[in-house]
Amino acid sequence: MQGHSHPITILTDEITRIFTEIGFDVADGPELENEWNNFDALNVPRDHPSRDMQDTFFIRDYTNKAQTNAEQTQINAEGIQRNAIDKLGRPMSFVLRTHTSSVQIREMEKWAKLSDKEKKKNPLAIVVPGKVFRNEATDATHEAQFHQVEGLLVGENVTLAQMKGTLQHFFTKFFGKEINVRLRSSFFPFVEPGCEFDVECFKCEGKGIHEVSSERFIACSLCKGTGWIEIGGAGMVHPRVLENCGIDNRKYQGFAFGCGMDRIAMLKWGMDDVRLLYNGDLRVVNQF
Amino acid sequence: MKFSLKWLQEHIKETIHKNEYVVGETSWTDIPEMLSKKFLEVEGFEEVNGDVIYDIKVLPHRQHDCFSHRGIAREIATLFSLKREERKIIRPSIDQNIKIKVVVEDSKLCSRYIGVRVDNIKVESSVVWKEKLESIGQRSISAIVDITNFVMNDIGQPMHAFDADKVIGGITVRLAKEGETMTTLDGKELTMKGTETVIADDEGVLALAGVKGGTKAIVDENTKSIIFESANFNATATRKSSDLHNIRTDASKRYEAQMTSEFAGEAMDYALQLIKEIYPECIIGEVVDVYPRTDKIFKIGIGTHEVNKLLGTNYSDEIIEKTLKQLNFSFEKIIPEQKLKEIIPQTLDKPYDRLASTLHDAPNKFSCGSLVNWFYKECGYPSPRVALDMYIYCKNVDHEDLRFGDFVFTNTKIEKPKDVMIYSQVLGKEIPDAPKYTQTVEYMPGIEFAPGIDHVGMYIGDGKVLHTGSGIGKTVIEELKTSEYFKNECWYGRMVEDLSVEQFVISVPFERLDVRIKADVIEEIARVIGYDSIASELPKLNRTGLPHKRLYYETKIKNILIKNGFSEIYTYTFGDKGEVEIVKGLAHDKEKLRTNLGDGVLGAVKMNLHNAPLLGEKVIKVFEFGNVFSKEVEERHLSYGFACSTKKDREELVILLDAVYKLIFKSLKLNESDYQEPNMYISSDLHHKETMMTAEINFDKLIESLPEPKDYEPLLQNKIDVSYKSVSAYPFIVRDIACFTPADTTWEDVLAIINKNDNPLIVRRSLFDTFKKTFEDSTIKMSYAFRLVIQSFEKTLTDDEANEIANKTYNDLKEKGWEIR
Repeated sequence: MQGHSHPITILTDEITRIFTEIGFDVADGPELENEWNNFDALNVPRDHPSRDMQDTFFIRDYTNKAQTNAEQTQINAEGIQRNAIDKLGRPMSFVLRTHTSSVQIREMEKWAKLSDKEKKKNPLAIVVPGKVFRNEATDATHEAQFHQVEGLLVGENVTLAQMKGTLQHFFTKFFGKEINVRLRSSFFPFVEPGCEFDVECFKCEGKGIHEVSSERFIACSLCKGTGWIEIGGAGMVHPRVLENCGIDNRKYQGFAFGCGMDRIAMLKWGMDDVRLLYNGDLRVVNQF
Repeated sequence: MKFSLKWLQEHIKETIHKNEYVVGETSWTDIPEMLSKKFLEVEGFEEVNGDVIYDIKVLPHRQHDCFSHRGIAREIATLFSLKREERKIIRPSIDQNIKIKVVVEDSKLCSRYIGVRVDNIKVESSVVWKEKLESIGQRSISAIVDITNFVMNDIGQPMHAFDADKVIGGITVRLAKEGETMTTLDGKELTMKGTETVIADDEGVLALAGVKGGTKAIVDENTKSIIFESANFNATATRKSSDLHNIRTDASKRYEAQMTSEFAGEAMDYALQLIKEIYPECIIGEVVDVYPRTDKIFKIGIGTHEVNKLLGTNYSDEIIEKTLKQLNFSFEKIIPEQKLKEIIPQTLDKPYDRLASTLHDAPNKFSCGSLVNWFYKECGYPSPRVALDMYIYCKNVDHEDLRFGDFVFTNTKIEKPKDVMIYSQVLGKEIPDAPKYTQTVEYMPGIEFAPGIDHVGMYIGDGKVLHTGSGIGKTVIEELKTSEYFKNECWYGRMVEDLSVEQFVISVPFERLDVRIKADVIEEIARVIGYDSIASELPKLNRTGLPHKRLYYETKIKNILIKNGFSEIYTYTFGDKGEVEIVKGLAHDKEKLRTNLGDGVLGAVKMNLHNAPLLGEKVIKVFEFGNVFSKEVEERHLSYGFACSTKKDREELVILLDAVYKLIFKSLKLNESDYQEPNMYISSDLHHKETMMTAEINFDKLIESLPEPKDYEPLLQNKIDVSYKSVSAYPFIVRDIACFTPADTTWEDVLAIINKNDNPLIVRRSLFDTFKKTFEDSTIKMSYAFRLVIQSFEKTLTDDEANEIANKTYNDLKEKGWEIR
């Protein structure tokens, strides 16, 4: 008898197939990341609340030889050792990456080294499905480890319209039916303009209601009658983020988006407890 | 944060309809959707006593102007194209003989401090603001305190009132002294660390700046004179004080958002007007305003083509103009070349100052960098402030191509002070090193330019350069050829390719501190017009993408393992064993990062073996791909293993583990040299005759020698369209039922009878044993053994409850005439 794939692997596979088909590569990066790639390069200020220990797993006394410099060790008030040096010469620490956006930084830094001619010919187009970590209490909808997927396109004439088109394409393919995407104004330090994106409810097809009989309607339980489901955050890559990676932000621009894969799993399959995805439980996996 | 519709209405001219719906006009029910789409999420709203209270989640980028009714009302006005109702604030007449002394020791800690003494007042309760304050969940205390709270929630500026008679001497804003103490208004004793900003009189601490007032100058029922405070405290310092003493207040969260200092002035005038209204006999003293560096209007230039280029839209000049007006952004349309020429006279002969700020000091004094920086800023082009960075930022041009508006760079090699403060002060951010003049610090920090650049001027045609320097002391126009400053090697740069293209130069309102670069303006335009107006367009990359190497080979191996009956699991990265530690983990047993997958997989197979009846499996076969961590490195491993409860199964599975590894090896076309002896993890529970075993290999090392992928071979087992069933949190009970049937009865026949019992608590019915038996009387019968798994989603079932369910099936079989074994 055949075995079964983990649902997150199935999502990774879907993402890979749909995105490679339209020219995006799939990229990968370490789960244990330095503060520069996880925060500073992404324009998240040093005193931003998301960098508190309550939200981020900081690593104690990390001595990865490739990245640290013992002489420069500093310990701040919270006991976080900053024993490596960031791009601006400041001491930095290590964290479990809080989002896959840190891979954006790594890929952009590599891409920045290409000549202008190569950059124009080969825009940087990647998706990054991967495991991320947040220091928060777990419950049925929150896990300390979960999965995100991130998309990034950087080139000469990349636009917000293209971002909308890319998201629409993905979700249409993924749900197997025409799905509209809606952008709502929001804020993330690494994008400008920044927005959240919703997809049309795939259950009620954006109507917000289900027809029980010709006279009776009930509100759609998935989208709570709104016709839209909140999925993730997106926007045009902040010029400072491009600059931090060594990309000339007057010549190149890009879009980025990200969303939780666990959230998609919950929506798509109606999973009610994300914790069951990470305790090795075959009662979940064997259904796939 | 809560906002009252009635209160918001005071800032909007047109009526927002509350009880009726008027076609073409704004109704209160339109607000949540509009705000959520184009501004910030409205988390809820409710009708209370003839008012509507909106709960709006103000995100960090708008906290500096939208923690107030005026801020939100202005946003509503913009989005619904309504007119703002500006409050008519007139500062009441003052008595110049009443004056307090205010000293701000460091303007970095407090950019503005306004103090005013008001005599002849009474502290008594008042109903004027009671309803308003209570509508948003605040308490009415006394007229004086209510005024400060009302102003804070109206404009966004926190205020404070001290009892003037309890303030000894003058007011000083300074760093606390270590060990100084203060009792907060709510009775908490604070001992200062020395890093906090405090408001003090000649005796001691009156308040923890921006956070909380103290009891020393508390306003009480005997107070006859007060000192009103309206100030702007440093955002980071306020946050640190607030963290240090673990006090968060309505005031501290506003200071932490870093507002414009302009609010302080408006707030004070408004508070004075209000106090005069309720106490007409009060005497207002002089407005003492310490505001050394006033906020300036920030300018950003943007062309219609730039908006469309980033958004992928086709907006016209007209629609952008209309949107800017809706936003209340004033703007002019300029042609950069004309503008530059127009403003040259404003700079000539103005004094030199090494630390001149473009924003605050131009056009009154300049450094060489702030001078050229200002020229282009006035045209809406931001540039770095440091000469070398400017050179890296500009397009380089040759001497022959020099034209009006280009920059001329040189290294004068003049000796300069080497303090770190220069850049830090000029740029307003911390720079770790003293100026080197050979490395960028501001734009793409760290870029080397060995010859060095320490001076810049603007070429204005006819061989002339406009510049300033310490040696000249003022802005001058000189012949480039003969200028003493430019006698060394020069380099040339161009900021703007075409100075004749018309563009908008926007003056950003004081309070909009979030609008500082072109992208910010574009966002404002896009969201106000509406993201819905942006069409979807799929980018054409004309290529097929590739998976990364790990993913490619991982998927290949997964396909092999799944084909051989292994299922994929994910387990925890955290545990109680490991080399890499988390500073503050979720729990003590989750503070280390795993060094192997085997331990987690062993635990998982054991758990799953206990669920085997529920799963309808006899043995458990799983695998996991995951990252493991050592002090030195993070690596991806593969672990694959099993759990079983018989000797026979164990023998077969041990062979399978080995066979599967060989299969992986073969299908990846690996070399002998890539062979690794798998790490084995074994655990057994003799009491239950259970064996758990798993093999682990270093996956990164395994695929090291393999080529990069050229395509993607998808996952074979991809059941994307399953209908998922929830998992019960309660234990299950097993009941085995075996029966003899006539020889020609198939197992399906038996199952059909078993299925007659459709009790939903039976979650699985599986055949686990079949045999044929010839009896002594030579009748041949079949034996079928089924296992019923019984489980509830609501509770733990008792044996009796399970028996009752199983009995129904026994009876069904008996009824058929079959003999229950």
